[in-house]
Amino acid sequence: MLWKSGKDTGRSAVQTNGFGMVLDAHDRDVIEACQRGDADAFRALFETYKDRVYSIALRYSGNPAVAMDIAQDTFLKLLSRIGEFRAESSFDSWLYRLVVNSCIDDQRRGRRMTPFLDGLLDAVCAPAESVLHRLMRTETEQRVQDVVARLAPEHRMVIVLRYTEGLAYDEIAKILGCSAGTVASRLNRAHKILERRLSWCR
Amino acid sequence: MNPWLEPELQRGLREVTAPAELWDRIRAARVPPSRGSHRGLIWALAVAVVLAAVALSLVRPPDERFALQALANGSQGIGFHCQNPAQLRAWVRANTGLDVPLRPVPPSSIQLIGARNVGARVEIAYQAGGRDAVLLVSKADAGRSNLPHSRVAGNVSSWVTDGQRYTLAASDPADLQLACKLCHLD
Repeated sequence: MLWKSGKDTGRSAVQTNGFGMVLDAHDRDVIEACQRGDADAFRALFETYKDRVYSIALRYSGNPAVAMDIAQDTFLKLLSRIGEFRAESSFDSWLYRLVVNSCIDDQRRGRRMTPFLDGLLDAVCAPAESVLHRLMRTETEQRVQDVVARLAPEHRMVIVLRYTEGLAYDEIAKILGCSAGTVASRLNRAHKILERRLSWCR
Repeated sequence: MNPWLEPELQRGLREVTAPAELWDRIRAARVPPSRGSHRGLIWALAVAVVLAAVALSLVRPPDERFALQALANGSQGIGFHCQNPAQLRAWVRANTGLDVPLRPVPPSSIQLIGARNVGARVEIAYQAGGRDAVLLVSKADAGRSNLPHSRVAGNVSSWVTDGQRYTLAASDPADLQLACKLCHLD
């Protein structure tokens, strides 16, 4: 059977599997097929979630090569552990936990690199916008990513889940296995650090 | 939080498109999908361990079973016929490395028949009060402390002393005490 990903059907993954919501019939079928070992179903899940998984990995690691490794690791974990997923829980939450754990595992392996030049190179090569304007914007974005990448892991993860994925405090708390109060406290602390280090953006 | 920070963070950390080669990398490294949970695997392993333990117990029966079997066989299969306790003790030591403290001069109620070694065990066949008895001796598990006599079945008793495991089987439960005189004083 050929499965369609959320994006193929014109629905965004967030809308389809809204965090904490009960899975719709299509998603449930895809996940169940994946649990039975259906390769097409796995491909459909991959297509639906690849950007979210890769984005979290990239924003957390600050390095595209490391992000590829983390994303690969996450999907291989998904493939080998999909049998453990129970339909009554949130698939998004379950998958986010896999990504977070892969990020932490990678961090433990001690690989941390935050390249500065990639974004600037892209900006110079972009023809449409004024090179200077784009350079400045890219420089700002790069600076934000760099500062975020230098946050302590527990602060960095809440920032990434909050701003890359747009998750609410209680959703982040559920993924990280802590209280919403802890999330709020970490975010508050992270905001203060970011404000100080990015004050030149004002 | 300062109002300028949130849009900067949203812009700087926005979601991006995963590179196309991600799928190729996953496909190349892919393992067969899991069809069951790890719980199933744990149960399967537990069952395998139990089956292996059962199989092991069948392949290598405990000493008690060996002793009863030897008792049923009587003097059949005895490789070394000897009525002299000192000679028998020396034979056992030479063939198995076990030292069985047989009484140099047993009472008249104890009649030695002989011995045979089976793997790391030795079976000493004799008669106690005119009825068959078997003393089976093997090395106890490493570090095993002494264990007092325990009655495994009606006519079988076992114990551990000085790193050796003893299993005594007599034709009649009432003969067990008499059979002890192979090694012990009255």
